[in-house]
Amino acid sequence: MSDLDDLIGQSVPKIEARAKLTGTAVYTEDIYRPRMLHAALLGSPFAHARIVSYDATAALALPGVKAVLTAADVPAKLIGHTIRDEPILARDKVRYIGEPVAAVAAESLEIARQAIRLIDIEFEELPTVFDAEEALADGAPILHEDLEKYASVVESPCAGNMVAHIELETGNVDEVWNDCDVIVEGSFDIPAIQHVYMETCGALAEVDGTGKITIWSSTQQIFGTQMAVALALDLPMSKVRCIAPAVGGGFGAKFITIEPITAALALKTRRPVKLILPRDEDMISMRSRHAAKIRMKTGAMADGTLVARSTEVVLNGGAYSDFSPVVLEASMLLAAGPYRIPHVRNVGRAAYTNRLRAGAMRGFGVMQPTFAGESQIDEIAAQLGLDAIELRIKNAKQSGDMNMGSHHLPVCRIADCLKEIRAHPAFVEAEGDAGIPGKRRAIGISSIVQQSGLFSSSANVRLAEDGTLTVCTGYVDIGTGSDTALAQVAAATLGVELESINIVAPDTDGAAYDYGTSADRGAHGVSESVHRAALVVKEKITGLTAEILECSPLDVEVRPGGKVGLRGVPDVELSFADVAQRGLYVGGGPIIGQHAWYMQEQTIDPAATRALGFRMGGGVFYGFAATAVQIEVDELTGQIEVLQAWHAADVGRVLNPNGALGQIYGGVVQGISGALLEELVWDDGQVVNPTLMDYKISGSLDAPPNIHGILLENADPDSPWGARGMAEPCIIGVAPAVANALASATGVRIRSLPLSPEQVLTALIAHETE
Amino acid sequence: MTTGHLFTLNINGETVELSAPAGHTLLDVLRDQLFLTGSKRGCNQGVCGACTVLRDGVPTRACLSLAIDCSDFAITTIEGLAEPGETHPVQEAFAEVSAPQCGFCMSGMVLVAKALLDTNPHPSRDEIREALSGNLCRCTGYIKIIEAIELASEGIA
Amino acid sequence: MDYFCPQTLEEAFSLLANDPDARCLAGGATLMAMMNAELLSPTTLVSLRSIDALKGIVASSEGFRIGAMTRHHEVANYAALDGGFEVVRLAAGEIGHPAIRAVGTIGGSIAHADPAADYPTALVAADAEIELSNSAGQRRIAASDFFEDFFTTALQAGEIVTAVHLKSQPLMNVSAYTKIARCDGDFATASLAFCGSFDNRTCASARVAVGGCAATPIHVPAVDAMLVGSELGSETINDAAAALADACDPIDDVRGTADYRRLLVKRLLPPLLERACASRAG
Repeated sequence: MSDLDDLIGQSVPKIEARAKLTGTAVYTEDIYRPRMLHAALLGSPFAHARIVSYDATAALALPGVKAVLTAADVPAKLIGHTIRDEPILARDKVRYIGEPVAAVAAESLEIARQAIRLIDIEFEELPTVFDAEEALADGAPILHEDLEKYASVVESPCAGNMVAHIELETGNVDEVWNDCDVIVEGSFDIPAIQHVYMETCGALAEVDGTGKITIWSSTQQIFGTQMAVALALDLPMSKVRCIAPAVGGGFGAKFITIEPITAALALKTRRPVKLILPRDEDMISMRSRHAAKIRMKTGAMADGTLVARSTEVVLNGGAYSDFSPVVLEASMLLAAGPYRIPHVRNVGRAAYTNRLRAGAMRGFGVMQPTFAGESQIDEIAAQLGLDAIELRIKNAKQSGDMNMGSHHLPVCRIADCLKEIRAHPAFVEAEGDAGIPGKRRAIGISSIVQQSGLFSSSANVRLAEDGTLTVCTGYVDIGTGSDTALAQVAAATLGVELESINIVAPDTDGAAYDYGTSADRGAHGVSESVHRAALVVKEKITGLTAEILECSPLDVEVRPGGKVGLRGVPDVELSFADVAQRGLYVGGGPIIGQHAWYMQEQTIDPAATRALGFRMGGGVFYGFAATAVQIEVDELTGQIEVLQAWHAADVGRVLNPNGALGQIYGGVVQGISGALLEELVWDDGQVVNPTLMDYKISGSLDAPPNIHGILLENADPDSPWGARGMAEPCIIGVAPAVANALASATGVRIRSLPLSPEQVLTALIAHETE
Repeated sequence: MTTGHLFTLNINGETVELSAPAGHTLLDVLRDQLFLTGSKRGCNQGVCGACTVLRDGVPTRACLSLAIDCSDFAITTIEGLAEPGETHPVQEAFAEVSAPQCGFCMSGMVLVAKALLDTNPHPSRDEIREALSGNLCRCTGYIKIIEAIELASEGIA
Repeated sequence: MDYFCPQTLEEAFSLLANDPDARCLAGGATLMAMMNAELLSPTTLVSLRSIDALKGIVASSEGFRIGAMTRHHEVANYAALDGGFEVVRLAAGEIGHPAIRAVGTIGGSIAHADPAADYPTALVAADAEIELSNSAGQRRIAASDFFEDFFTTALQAGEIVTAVHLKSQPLMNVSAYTKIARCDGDFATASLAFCGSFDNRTCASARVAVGGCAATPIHVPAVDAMLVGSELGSETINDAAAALADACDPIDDVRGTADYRRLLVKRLLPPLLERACASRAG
């Protein structure tokens, strides 16, 4: 394995770094095509209304306008990740303010934006509902009257405004509350936030002479996009090609955005059409993270043993189902946290409301219950007079344990994560720092479990005649460093230099298949695909070499540096190029390796867990981590400053330490930003803060100057290399860690996010007067 | 529809003659006319910093600069930092620590870093954070960007 | 859209007179952002960048004249603005972020009159005078009279801000500025500015202004009067702070509620005074 060790676990510089640093990496908006048109979207002014009529005459008459589309101009098709409930342009009714109702393509962006103001649409307003629980109550205005008719993969009963209803239960919580020495109960409120990727959603579509559409898009999912465009426009997938150029961040939002509309405009005009959403339109009309209301009750014995946890989750899904059922499943699977709790009941509902759709966001349904659960662990520790870290270690899941549903956890080092943080020198120093009166300091901690892995992955590896290799997966590197990691895997498997690997840009015409960049799939499933495909190439090289050398394949050895030879005879050596050319021009054929697989999720074991409405799975494998923050609270203003942070990740095996650390730093800061600053604010259905002036995210002076990333390695037998992704746990535990630190520093426990200065000050003053 | 005004700009040491509507920003002109797409549009409000260019060596926002109003300045975009195919020491330092993730903020970050080191070759971590304070990044948490600048600073005598 | 870059004030006035919908382009930080957001579509832009009469900070025995086109970073780095004038320099340093401070101008900022901006609060506390000019001549108006309402000033048609005057006042020899915001670079949720003097720890003169808590900066002479003769740490200071908070007329918005803003004013005035008093020694 020594060749593998040369590259795996090394902080090799990212292969695309030079391009990104010189301004030469090409993102969607950077692409210009001859005779390209520019597009703009008209968003609905109403949160809920029937569309009575359209009049695009004035818009079409504007010189330079080449197309105006409404639902009347595209097939009556619905798309959606779980329930197909979503038209690409609002059809018959609008369900949220900002929902795309019409699209214009024109010679210039100015003309397109002028034209959308000239489109006249008559609406008939309908009653609205914005709150999830109100939406689920009797008599609420119904968003999807045809819910029962939609094609759906959701098993849980959907009716009215209920998108999903899922329950998971182990043991019997009702029987054991009385046995508990301490019970904490509380309601937690998590708002909707936005991903705020630096590159807004955008696409460029072009139709060629045969009628085939090519779409360049800032997407995390080229095959899903290809499928959605084909479905929406009633085309075979063979007529749709989706390419991901460089993508400026996604965080879960870029799973089918405005590609179908852009493709429709290109089809109509037969010219390339570029649609890039301005920031405010992106924030109003794309996706948010699910707002959640959580009621949680946790019971424990006096010695700190956790006995029971009961959790109710209500997710605000917005106007379309998107990933809501799967997000809810994740909440249900993991609300109990990484602990051995024998009695667990999780009840979840997701509702349609007249707000923009909530979809996948880094943390995927686990961030919300973790905020509640990790807050309650600290509350229990405080009530019992026990140390908060010790309490977690005492109850932590261990390798070989199971999660709900009897999901296997072959490797679980959550206790080690906590211990590593606790032993870190900066942590030890910070522990004794109580700050000064008026600016108190404290540390808060949380532990995290997240499920990872999803659906299918594949890889093609081809040997070129000069001995270099082409690796093609279709997986999109949205900034995670996956391209480099996959190149490392391929190079390590074949013992070649990293520079000889060509990672192909994601393109549905070239790639075999990949589900999409999400659920920490890259380090695990996609790298497995690459590794095994490379092994096939290795096998074929070996076989062809045996033919050339007229020996047994068992006597062939692959040597570092793209060489191959006869075992025990160092002078007998060929290059990969020699072997490749033999195959191409003499016999044997091109040397190509492929691997395709489905990441099998673990099912729910009915003997262990009662399940209602649970369908999709996930739970392929689980990742564990712990997060700690040191904060300073300004008691005059309520402002919280995070002075430093720690994150210990149980990653199995690290492919690229710098890459992993970069993910940790970024996830922690995104978590701090969400904990302290972020909230999409609505006024009667209108998002009032859809700009970066009004919706703030952490800048360099808001982020802590020091974040300590700790990578714990321990090969996971279920996954290749033993690697597991870690991009989500690093955001999940930050908010509860901050809330716990606040409670330690001031005695104030806050159960709603963000922990804004106002909320903190109000709570501090109330606490003072108690 | 678009009545063009004629003006010249000094971009990366070259004088460029342009015709554009008066209302076009420097960012519009750099990208759509000169195809210097390294400067990015992240918010069009001057908040995110992805459009950062140097105006006489000082980081400014191309999205808030009226193109026609910029004719007196020497403008440096990310493309002008080094010869094509080559890299500036600041870019090399960023690559070495693996600072770029999605990369969208990087043009701005690199130019701010260069401008900082040109005036303050050995900044403290706090001075670095202050210099970066108007440039947003959602991927990196800023740590590796700070490390890159510290590394680049070490290379300056 | 037409664009002009006059070399003199007279040319500028003439251009503005020709088109009532013309807008002046100063630093562009606000105007360009509004144009990009499709909130403004001027028919004519008159760039002020070449007019020498608008540039530079001039010191004299009377104080300072800050030309309207002086950039925020120039003011923020102008060391001679200390003592009673320091509040203006401190406020300039809090505006936005470095790239904004590199281009934004004092004239542009105050003409926009955003109540959450930094300059208005500081200029009212410093009792600054705003110089307005048009083709007919020049006039000066106290800062507190210049800011009339949300995004509304005393500027008449055809007038532009040409300078800000800070007068030397012997009774105003220390100052301080506090800005509370959700995060770095944000507009103020609330800001407080103080100009005055101390006799040991007793306030000898005071002028306090509050920003972000009403349509314009709040200045309450009665509160100033309460402070005069009060010792730092005494109840009178707290009473003055409470009175100041009561005089505010804040709104609820994404940066905070009205209640929170009043709380901030009440809590932050005493430490602001402490800071101003301590700055005298340095």
